[in-house]
Amino acid sequence: MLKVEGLSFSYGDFTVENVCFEVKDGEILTLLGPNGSGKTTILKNVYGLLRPKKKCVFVDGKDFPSLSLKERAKLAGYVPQSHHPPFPYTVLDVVVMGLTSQLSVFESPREEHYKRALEKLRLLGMERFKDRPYTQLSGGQLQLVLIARALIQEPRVLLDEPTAHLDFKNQVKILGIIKRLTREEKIAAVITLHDPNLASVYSDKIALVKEGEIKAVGVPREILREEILREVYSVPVQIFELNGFRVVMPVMEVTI
Amino acid sequence: MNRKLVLLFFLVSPILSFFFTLCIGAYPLPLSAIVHIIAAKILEIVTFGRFTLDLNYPPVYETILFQIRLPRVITAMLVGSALAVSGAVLQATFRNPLVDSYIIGISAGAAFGAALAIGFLPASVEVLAFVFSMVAMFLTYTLARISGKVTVITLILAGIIINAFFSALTSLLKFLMEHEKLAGVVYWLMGSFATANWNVVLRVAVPVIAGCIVVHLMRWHLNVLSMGEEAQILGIDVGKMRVVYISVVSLMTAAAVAHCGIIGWVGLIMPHIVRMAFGPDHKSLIPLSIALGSTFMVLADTLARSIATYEIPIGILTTLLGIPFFTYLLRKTRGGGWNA
Ligand SMILES: Nc1ncnc2c1ncn2[C@@H]1O[C@H](COP(=O)(O)OP(=O)(O)O)[C@@H](O)[C@H]1O
Ligand SMILES: [Mg+2]
Repeated sequence: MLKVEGLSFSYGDFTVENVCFEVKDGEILTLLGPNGSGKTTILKNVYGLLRPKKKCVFVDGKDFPSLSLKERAKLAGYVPQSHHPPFPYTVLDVVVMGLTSQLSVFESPREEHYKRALEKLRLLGMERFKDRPYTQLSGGQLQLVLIARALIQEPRVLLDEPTAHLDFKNQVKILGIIKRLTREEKIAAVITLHDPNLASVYSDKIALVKEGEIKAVGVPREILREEILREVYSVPVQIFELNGFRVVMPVMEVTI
Repeated sequence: MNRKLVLLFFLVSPILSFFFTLCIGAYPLPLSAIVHIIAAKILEIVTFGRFTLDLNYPPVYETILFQIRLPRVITAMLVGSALAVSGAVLQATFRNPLVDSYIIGISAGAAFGAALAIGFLPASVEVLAFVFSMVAMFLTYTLARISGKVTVITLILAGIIINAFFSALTSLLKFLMEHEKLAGVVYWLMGSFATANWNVVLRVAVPVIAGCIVVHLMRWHLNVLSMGEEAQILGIDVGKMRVVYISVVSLMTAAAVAHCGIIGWVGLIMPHIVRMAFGPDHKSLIPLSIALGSTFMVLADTLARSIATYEIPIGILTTLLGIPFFTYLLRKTRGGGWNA
């Protein structure tokens, strides 16, 4: 269980104000909002990479950001929005880095650690790439490798735009995998997305973010409403109901 | 299979080159004599002189071996390992394939510190070399950090500036130095193993072996540290780890520079050759860089002392070998990140 109670943070000219949400184990909460609305900033604060103004993030009741980096890495994984490979490590070498927090500085990973990394790769259908340099993967495959690296840290993950740069098929595939894993492994996940429809299908909860504030948080059916989306995105939208899901469509401003 | 053979070759290459190079010189020694004399010496030492072998070799053999070649070869091997490991560590720490202790100015700082101690201050050469190598490192890093970011290019540019700065200061020291000391300093600065003796071996060996052991034990975490700030989410205190690795590198570089002058490019080239052959995992990269660094240095030194009737300073030789390699790397990496 991950609980955020009144998170505030300031970059100087940009502030995040009084963010509150709660994610149970096995649930996905999606932060949805326009570019620059503060989604990444919120995730970084939750993980303690940026320092929130006061105690406000609790994982199983523990004040999360005050833990050491090592203790935090044992409790939660993080998939960054972008990644720049320094050297062409193999896929397996990258995933095993997720176990850093369980090794002392004088230790190297052993057989058992590589086995665990391989299991995660298998879970994501990436096993056959294990010896490939990870600089030679497609965007979607790289994303899967980084997700495997975060998942091995268990049992909570924060994923910043897991579907960025992916084609439609891979967006669906990755979100499907995240959905399945959070259910099966009882992982609490916070992710950020750009597409309200994908959020509607895959999230248990959605938090709408605008200018560093959460405008609404709740189950997708309640959150995806015309007025509030229009306010958050500043574009007119229409909502349709389909098989129990809400579908968000832009309103065309020019008539053809 | 093939890979295993190459690996084995890398790992035994220091031993092969060790014996090979002991044979070579103005007065060539036969390999059998070298093996016998060394074996006899070891036997004498481990039995505290109770056993001695009578060998019928000219006494000059023993003198050449123990007074001249062995200390020189061992020093070269230590310095080669130190520089190669330093390069590997710096490349990982800064996620920058184009650096080593020479390029980012650590060597120039160490040389200034050593020259200061030799010419003017009653301080230990090694200590001042270490202090100024750290100062140089700090200055380079500070200069390279532009709005919170250190890029591949800013680090190299900052290195150029700090290199120039400390070279100028060292030149100033040379200018002010007494003439008797000057010749020695000039020769030492160009990089040479000619002055090696058992005292030098000892003073280089302690920091270099200690440094190599520490880096070797901590080698896998270099993989993680090379992820940059992102390593935080894997549970590593990036700032603290960088300081630890850089201090060890400075210590080893300072020991090498204080006794053997500035020898550039070795630290840049060796880790790259290992990466090309065995991949970038530091689990294998570090031990293999140690092996290859010592092999390369000892062979380069053999070349330097036997190619002409006079000795060529080793620093000049490694630079001439290093520049084409750096050019190749610059093109391969396009001056940016690593795209294999
Ligand atoms: N390191 C930084 N320093 C100052 N301002 C920043 C920094 N990073 C992001 N910002 C600002 O914070 C705001 C929110 O950014 P971000 O959280 O990355 O948005 P999102 O992830 O929702 O696109 C933006 O206005 C951005 O300019
Ligand atoms: Mg973002």
